[in-house]
Amino acid sequence: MASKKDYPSMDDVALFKAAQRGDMQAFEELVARHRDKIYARAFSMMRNEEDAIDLSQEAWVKSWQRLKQFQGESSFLTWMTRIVINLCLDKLRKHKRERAESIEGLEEESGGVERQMPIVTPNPTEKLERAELRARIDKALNQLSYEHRTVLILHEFEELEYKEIAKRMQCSIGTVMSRLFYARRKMAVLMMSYRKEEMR
Amino acid sequence: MKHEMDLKLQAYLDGELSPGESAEVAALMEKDATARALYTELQQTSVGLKGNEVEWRLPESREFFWSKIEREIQKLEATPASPAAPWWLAFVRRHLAAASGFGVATALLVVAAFQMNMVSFLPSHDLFEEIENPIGDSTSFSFRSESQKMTVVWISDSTPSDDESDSADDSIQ
Repeated sequence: MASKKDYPSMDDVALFKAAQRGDMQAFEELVARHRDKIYARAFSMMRNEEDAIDLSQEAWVKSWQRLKQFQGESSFLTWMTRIVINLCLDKLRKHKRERAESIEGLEEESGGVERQMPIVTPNPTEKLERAELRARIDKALNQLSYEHRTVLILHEFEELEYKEIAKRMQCSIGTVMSRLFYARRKMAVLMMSYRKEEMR
Repeated sequence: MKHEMDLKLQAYLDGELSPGESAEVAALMEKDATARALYTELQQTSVGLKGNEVEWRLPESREFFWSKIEREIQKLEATPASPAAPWWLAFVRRHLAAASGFGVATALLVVAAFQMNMVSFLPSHDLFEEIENPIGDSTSFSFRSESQKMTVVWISDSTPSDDESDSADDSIQ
């Protein structure tokens, strides 16, 4: 008689291998373990709860279908995160095609107002409580165009190199560098403006 | 040039430059206060962001979220894989797809030509001219020419004239 598996005590690799053999309960444990992180990445990119739920769910279904393709060259979570990022990028590209050329898009081509922005000298993130800092970062991210936000997320949070970001966003390395530069500058200005608001 | 240097400063921060380029940027920062200030701003923003992302939580219970995933997986696995298409169908798809597109386009052009009355490229206008005799034994005939925008109707009396009757009678007689 086969012994009942203690899924919560198994590590990701063991769960993953069991899931590759078709063990749905092992896969469910992986979903339960990482579902918040996958959803959080989808939400940070989409800024929309409904899309984030749908895309994270789709990512889990896709991963089940591709379990046999995963060779363990990265952690399971990293692999899953890449799947959800790609789904989000596809969706964002679709959204962009559907809407008319925005002013944001035009600004990006010419460098927008970021080119003329004065350099922010005192550190706007200094002496902030972590929760407050996180809330301000999130508020500022919300004000960026999707291109600027995505490049920041992929570089600062996912720690991807320029080349990898360019591949995923289907643009040149030069575009990635330019977007990242303006995104960082805009973030600095926004963070400083929140600080000034607080001091008033 | 200025923007290119700005991007190099950033690439230096991100460790994306070759050793030679890194030395060039380091030298620039030593003598240029604005470059130093910009580098500091980019660095502070980067450091401030790292590890400070809001940790969003999925607003659905474990059971409910899993039930949706499980349903999708079961649906996919219940769908039988479509059988491989025969070789000749693959050939038709590959080689005749373009031809069928051309055929459809040609048919649309012909229909459009009909609609717009642009028929001059066709060999003969006679195709669009018709003679009709609605009732077989009637003695009225109509002729219509689309190109001339004209309809001609011949009406003839089918009953023999008195003279004709007479002559017929004569012949009988």
